[in-house]
This record gives sequence, C-alpha cells and structure tokens, in this order.
Amino acid sequence: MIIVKFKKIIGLVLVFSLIAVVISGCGKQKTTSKELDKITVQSLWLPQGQFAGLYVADSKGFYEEEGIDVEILPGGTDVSSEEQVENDVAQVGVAFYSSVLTYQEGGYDFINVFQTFQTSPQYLVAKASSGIKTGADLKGKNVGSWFGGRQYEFYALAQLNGLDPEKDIKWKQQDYTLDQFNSGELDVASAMSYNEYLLLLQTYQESDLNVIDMNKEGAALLEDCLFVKRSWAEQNKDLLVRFLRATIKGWKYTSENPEEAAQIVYNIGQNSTLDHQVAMTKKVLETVIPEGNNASQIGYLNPTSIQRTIDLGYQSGLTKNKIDISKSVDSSYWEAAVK
Amino acid sequence: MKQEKVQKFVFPVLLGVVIIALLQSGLIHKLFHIKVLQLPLPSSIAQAIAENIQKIIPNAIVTILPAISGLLLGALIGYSIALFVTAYPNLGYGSLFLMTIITSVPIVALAPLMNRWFPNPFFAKLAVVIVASSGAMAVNAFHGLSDLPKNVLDLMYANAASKRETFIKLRIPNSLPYVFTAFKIGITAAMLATIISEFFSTQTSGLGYMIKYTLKVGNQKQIGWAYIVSASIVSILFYSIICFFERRLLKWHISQKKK
Repeated sequence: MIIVKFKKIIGLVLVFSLIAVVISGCGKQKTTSKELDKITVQSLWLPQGQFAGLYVADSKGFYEEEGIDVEILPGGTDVSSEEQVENDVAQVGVAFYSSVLTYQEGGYDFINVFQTFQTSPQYLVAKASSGIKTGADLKGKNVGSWFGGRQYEFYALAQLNGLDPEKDIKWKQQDYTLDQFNSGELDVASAMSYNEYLLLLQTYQESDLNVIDMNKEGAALLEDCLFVKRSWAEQNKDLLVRFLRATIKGWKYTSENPEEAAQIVYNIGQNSTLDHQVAMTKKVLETVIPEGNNASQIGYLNPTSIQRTIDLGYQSGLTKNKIDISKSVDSSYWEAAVK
Repeated sequence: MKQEKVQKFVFPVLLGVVIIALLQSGLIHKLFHIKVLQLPLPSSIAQAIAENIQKIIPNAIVTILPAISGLLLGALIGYSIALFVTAYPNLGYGSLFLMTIITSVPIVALAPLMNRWFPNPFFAKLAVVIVASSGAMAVNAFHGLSDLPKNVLDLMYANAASKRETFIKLRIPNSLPYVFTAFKIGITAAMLATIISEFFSTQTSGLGYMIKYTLKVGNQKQIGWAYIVSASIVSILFYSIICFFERRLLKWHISQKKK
C-alpha cells in the first residue's frame, strides 16, 4: 500500500518536473554572444528572390560587419509577421505596408522604417482572348484574390473605375496554384509580377496574356516593407540603423549580382528551381529599384506613394480611419543609414 | 429534482459566467501573456457581433445549409450501411471497416481535393460533410441494430418472427437512441467540416471564409472572433435541437426515463 502511494508520488513529481522542463523550454532562448547584437527577422514567405537583399546581406556577412547576428525566420500562409513582432519572437518584420496599416489601426504600435518595394508588384492577369485589359473591364467577371487584406488593392482599382467592388465583381478565393486560371474558372487571376506571372509565362506566350498593372491604374498599395515596434526602435536606434545599412548593402549587391543572389537564396531554401529564383530576383529588383530610381534610394519611404497607400486604403475600406502618415512611418532610421 | 436542476443547469452557467468575467477582466490574458489586441475582450466581441449581425446571418446560412444537408445525407448513407451490415453480416462487415477508414481521412486533406472534384462550392462542402459524418452514424447504428438483449431476441425467435419483423419491431427501435448519439457527434463534425472546407473553397462567403480572412487583417480581429463565436452558437443551437427531438421522440426509451 505504502509502496503504491510512494510510486504515485514519484510519478507525480516526474510529471511535474517534465512539465516544468517543457515550460522553461518554451521561454525565449537568447544566445549570449558578446560581440554581436542579435536581430531576428520574420520573413513573409519561404526563402525566395523576393527577400534576396536580406539573405544576401546575411550570407555575404554585411550584417556581421555591422556587428549584428541576424536570423531570418521563414514565413507561411498562417504565420503573421505582425504577431511575431508583437510577441517579440522577431524584432523586424517583413510585411505588406498595407497590412501594417491595419495593425496600426488595430492598436499595434508599429512603424514602417524601410519601404523595400517602391512600386506594387501586384498584377491582375487575364487571357488576351477575354478582352479584359483595364480595371473597368472587371465588371461582372470572376476575379481571384488571396484576400486577408490583399483584396483592397483591387477594391481601390474597382472604385477608381466607377465600380462597386462588392457588387460589380464576382470574387473568388484563389489558391496558390494557377489551376483555376488555367481551367477558366477565373477570368482574371491575381499574380505577383515576380512569381505567379513568371510561372504563367512558362505556359503562355506574353502576347496571350493581358496584364493589369496596379501602378499604371493608379491603384497601387505599397507591399513589402520592414516594420518594427516603435518602442523597440527607440531603444535600439543605433542597432536598427546598422541593420538597415547592411540591408541596403544586401539589396545593392543583389542588384549588381542578381544571379549570385538568386543562387544564395536557392541554396538556403531549395525552393522551386534555380531558374525561377533568378527570374524572380531580377523581376523583384524592378520594384526595389524602379526605373528612374537609383541604388541610393533603396528602402526610401517615398511620402507620395505612402500617402497614396493610406488614402486608397481608407477609401477602399482597408482602414476605417485615415492613418496619420507621421505616426505610421518613421524615415529617420533610413536617413541615418544612408548618410 | 430541484437539486438535480441546480447541478445540471446553474453550475455550468455559473462557470461560463465566471470564465467570461475572467476574460473580460484581463486576468486570463495576464496569466498566459496574451495581449488584448490578439484576443479581444468578450465585450468587444459582443459589440462586433451586434455591429455585423447583418453580415453574420447570411454568412452563417451559407455554412449551415451544406452542414445540415450533408449531415442528413451522411446519416442516411451511414444508416443504410448499418442496415446492410446487420442483415448480411458476412457480406457487409468489410464495408463498415471501410467506413471507419474513410472517416479517418483528415478533413484538411479532403477539403481541397473535394473543391477540385466539385466546382460547385455547395456540393464540395456537402461531400466533405458526408464523409465526415456518415462514419459515426454507420458505427453507432450498427451497434443499435445488433447489440440486442439476448432474451428479447429469443422471444422474437420463440414467437416465430420473420427476419423482417425482427428488424421493424426490434432492431430499428433499439437503434434509435444510437442514431441520436450519432447525430450529436455528427452535428459538430459537420459544422467543423464545412468551416474547414470553406478555408479552401473558391467561394467568398461562409463562416469559415470570414474567420480565415478577418483574423489576418489587423483591424478586423474582433470581427474574426465574432464569427468564431457565431459558429459556436450555431453548433450549440443545432445540438440543442437534436437533444430536444431526442427527448420528444424517445420518451418511451429507458435512457430518457426519469429516475
């Protein structure tokens, strides 16, 4: 009898100690490196050309030169950069600026410190045979979107063309394949200039596809940016500036050596094919350094396009209030980094 | 009697109220280091439900229709299989085994497939729900049809009852409580299956669609939670309806007799 009780107690002690070990393991583990400051970056997706600048800066040692040990966490469909940064899992997040706006309105104290994509890489693609060429042609058509905030750029496009986005267009949830477009279920598909569009070009001739470019339509909402918690930035001003400086160097290197950059990204992720990564990296560079810009403007927080994102976001229903640009963006860190 | 009512009704309600109060006070948030931004307070969820009720109801209907029709169809299929297996055990037993295997296919794997097989989102959801709910019915109904008191079966035999009579007068009535159990398991499975299916659907309405996408937008978290709570309310509502019918229709059965 006593032995049974004793066994029970031992069992309980073991269970509790196991739980304690598991719980303590859940806590943050900070590697105590004496020289290097540590920054974790939450990426938006798997390692691919879209984020080449970050991976190049890391593997070329640009971060280390600035005294930073950077870890880049891959993203996924249900990984939210915003929540990861809010929970201090990462200090820097990659996210669409339009998405960051919604979190700012929701009460998250984030600031955009680096606008990676200067233009919108968002395309809407239709088969040339459909005759759909501009935003106005979307009326009554089956249009695919990834939603989750991504639809508002299209809502803005519809509004600019005098359409009611909720009533005049038949929206469909688009998956991450292009099967729905190929099968004709979608008249118009969402495609990123640097990814899905390139994949489409493997099956279609360029002349077989009509592209609606959000920039030309005046509906561009800004996408990939780097955001941080305002409080963290204020406490780590120097670190953030160094991080941005190395990141700019990474993108500059990428723009000079896109093939090598693509190889670096491909080696890390083994994601899709090397050819696709090369094509993606080259295409991404067109939005990182668009025509008319030069390498010194990498990450520039252009007040015009940022204000346009805020205005269109408000008009299309992305945000309920017009966000104050001075509270949403802080360019002082970028300015210090390019000095 | 009165004390039983207190135990059955008042305590669970009290517990619910206490949990909601704890959430509202922010104590649970503090305990688990969750931020109010990430898990909105019950009051703001309630407010979001009130503000969006005109959108929630049509979206709920989009989800309820395939869930309920799928549940009924799945029940019909499951029960038919159970009947077949009981009538011809040698032939049918394999199909029951097959049923169990099909039911154990994860819904998350099934939903995207069904969406490709059936371009119509309603039928895609229907198919997922049928698969998810028919297994419980087949297994439960089979138990009800075959798990009979020995003496009763002997009585039927002694009175020279035909196979058909044994089915109609003994086996089928005996299976009814099991059928209700299967429905109770099935309704939650059906709602779950429909909502998951909507995650992968091309359709841009339904509770699952709204939950998936509003939670991703920073200023719509409380709306996402409003849809989650609505989905739970719908499930509980239908569960209660099934319980109501169970009490009404099975008054004669021993399981419903008051002690």
